[in-house]
Amino acid sequence: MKPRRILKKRPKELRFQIAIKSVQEEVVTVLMDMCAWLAHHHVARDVIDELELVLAEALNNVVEHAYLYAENGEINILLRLRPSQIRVTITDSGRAFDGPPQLKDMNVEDMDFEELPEGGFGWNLIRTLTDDVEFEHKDKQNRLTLTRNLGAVASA
Amino acid sequence: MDIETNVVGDITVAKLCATRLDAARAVRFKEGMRDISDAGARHIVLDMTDIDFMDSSGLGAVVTVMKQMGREKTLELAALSPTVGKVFKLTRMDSVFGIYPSVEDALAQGMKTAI
Repeated sequence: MKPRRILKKRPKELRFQIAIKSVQEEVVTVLMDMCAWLAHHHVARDVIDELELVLAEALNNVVEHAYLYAENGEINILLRLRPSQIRVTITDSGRAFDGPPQLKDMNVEDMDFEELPEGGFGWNLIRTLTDDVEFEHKDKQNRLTLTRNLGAVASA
Repeated sequence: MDIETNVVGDITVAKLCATRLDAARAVRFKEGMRDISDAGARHIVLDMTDIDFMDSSGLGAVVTVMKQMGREKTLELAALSPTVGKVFKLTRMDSVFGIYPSVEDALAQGMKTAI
């Protein structure tokens, strides 16, 4: 008997949506949930690892700078997985953000011991590991959208 | 955060007993490391074998620990996972720290320097 070819129609877009409180431990949990979801949908391990770092930086920024560690803020996360890209939109109602800074050269090699930075790495990591960063402040909300393109392997 | 210490000669190996060094754990990590340094450790090798995720808050905390220890003491790193290593590389902080593939490599290098 000839095997019957089953045509599996791929959805154009898969979505993962969740709202969390502005609490560091909730950020940790949601990062692990998103990584498990992406792995379940066969996104390559190295892409997931880089995305976890990008999302950790973006979500920690919201907890620290938008809500100033107040734990009653709400953070909405929408993750959209398409064959060619992953887009994540993070929305909060905290302090208005000026917008994402450009890549900066930190020159840590040339710094004296006392000058070494203990922070300020986050946006460089986000910019380096994403393909597009969009931001808007509208209706008293900060909305950040990060896009990571997927290579042929990850979307196959 | 639990940190296990093991003294080998004049080197203290500090093993992080956690899988994440991140914003949620950075403060406890700094406190734990300060206790070890205050207890007299002069040369610390941070064993990161179990850490499979580190964000920039974790990286910043490692820098803080090194600066608090001062120039007279040393902090070196060992057994970084590929993901953790990438954070050091992307921020070029791999040029600031001594980084060894394993604790054994760090100790072997430390012994050579001591002689």
